[in-house]
Amino acid sequence: MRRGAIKRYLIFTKAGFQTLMAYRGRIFLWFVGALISAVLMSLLWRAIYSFSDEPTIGGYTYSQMLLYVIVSAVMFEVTVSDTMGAIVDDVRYGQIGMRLMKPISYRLQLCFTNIGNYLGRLLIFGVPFMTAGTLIAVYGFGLTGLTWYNILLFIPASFIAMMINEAYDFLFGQLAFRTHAMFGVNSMSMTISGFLSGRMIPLSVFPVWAQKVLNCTPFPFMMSMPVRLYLGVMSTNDVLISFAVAIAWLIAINIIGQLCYKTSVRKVVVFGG
Amino acid sequence: MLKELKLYPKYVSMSLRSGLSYKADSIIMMISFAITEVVSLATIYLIVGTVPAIGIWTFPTLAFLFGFTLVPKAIDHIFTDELWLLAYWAIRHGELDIFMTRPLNPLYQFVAQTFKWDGIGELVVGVVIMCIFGPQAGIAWTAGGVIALILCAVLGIFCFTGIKLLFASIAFWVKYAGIFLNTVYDISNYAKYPVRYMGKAFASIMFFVIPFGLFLYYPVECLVTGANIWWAVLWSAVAAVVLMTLALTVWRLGIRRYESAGN
Repeated sequence: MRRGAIKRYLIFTKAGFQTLMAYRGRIFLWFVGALISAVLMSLLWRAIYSFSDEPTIGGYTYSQMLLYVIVSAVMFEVTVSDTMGAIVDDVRYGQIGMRLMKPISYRLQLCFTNIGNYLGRLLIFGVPFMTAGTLIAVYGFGLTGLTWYNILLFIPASFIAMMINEAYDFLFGQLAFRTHAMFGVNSMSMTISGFLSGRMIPLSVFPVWAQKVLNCTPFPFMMSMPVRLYLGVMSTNDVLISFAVAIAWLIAINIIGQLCYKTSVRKVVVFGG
Repeated sequence: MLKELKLYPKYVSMSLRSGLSYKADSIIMMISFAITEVVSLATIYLIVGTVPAIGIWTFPTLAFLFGFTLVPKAIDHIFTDELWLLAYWAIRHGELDIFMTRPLNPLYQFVAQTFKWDGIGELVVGVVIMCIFGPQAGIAWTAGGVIALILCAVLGIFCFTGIKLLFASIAFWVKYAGIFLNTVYDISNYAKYPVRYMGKAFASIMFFVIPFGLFLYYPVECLVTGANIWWAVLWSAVAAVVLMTLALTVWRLGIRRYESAGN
């Protein structure tokens, strides 16, 4: 892409950031809601640890599990994609016609808007919420093993996770051109990715065969890998390989999405006048 | 009241007919609900699989509890799904105007306009799970126990509706109450776990503040421990009356201050 073209799309990133700022109060409440859910999940894990004969479950001590739950809840809110919602709205309110007529790529417009949204969510909410969670896990529950470089590496890992999430959302979001049941499609795609990415429970609790299968899919890179990186439970070798595989998946899902898009876009019906 | 009851089949037929023009969409919704519930059950299986048991709770007993929580939730979902729209945008978009000009209760009209038959999938999943795991849950089944459990499920429907209406009605004051309703509703997901082992503070909240534990968890706990389940029926009835009274009061106060959203 030429420099001028990138500049053109960066306007959408700015717009994504500004939209997020306009709704910051509402988004703050969503983060609080996610945190309440994380607290309840950590209470459940505490009960389970109290009945366990082993000090670790799925390779995690209780303090690590606590931070896993907090980081995955915050990360979900940070990397959540608005792409499917944007496509659904564009189709529902008939704006899709105008969007497709403009001499810019609809796909890139969605992607760059989402980057702005991600940056806002990370800087305004993600950093403070995760810092608080980390301090609680370290000073309240004696968590060790965190390193500054893993925490820093979490930023690019979460960016790639957001991009994979967004590409996955674009893939499913195209169904808006064919069905009106996008609430069902959205909840189905979120449930599947939430479960298989390790957002609900760590993947190390899954049976070994399931872990092997999941390692051949993009799901672990949407949540599990960045959270494990943050917790410092990955070896350097693992980190390097994971980054390479995550980028490969990002490219692959975008190619599949683009191929599907060429067929889906022919099905667009524009409402209104 | 009689007029409303007479009209309800007409509302259902209207909703079903409009739904039937999007048959594929309803099927997608049913599949989506089924996947969500299967994933929830798998999550319970994986979590409980990490330990032999959580106190008295083994996987079959928790699976039975999970199946039971789905029943009132699904029935409430079938009849009052429109309350989600009240929380998210109906008030912001002035959509209540039309209901206030007709000679029928506005709440009844608003809720009756949608009959979510796709929620039947959720209900069937719940009942099937209960039938599969009921015999394995170590419960000494009696006819009285079954009747009491059915009563708890029926009362649970009113509790769910009360909680939904209460938190959706906040939208009369803040316009966008979706986040409040969503957060509170999500807490119901934790009633399918051993509430009593999750800390005294949490258990107290689940029993006395947002009583999902009282009408979802407690009846099954009584069955598993052999305690008198009729106490659970009594407490569920108290919860249903308190929640519905509170919700209807807040709705009435809210609708008095409702103003249209422009032209």
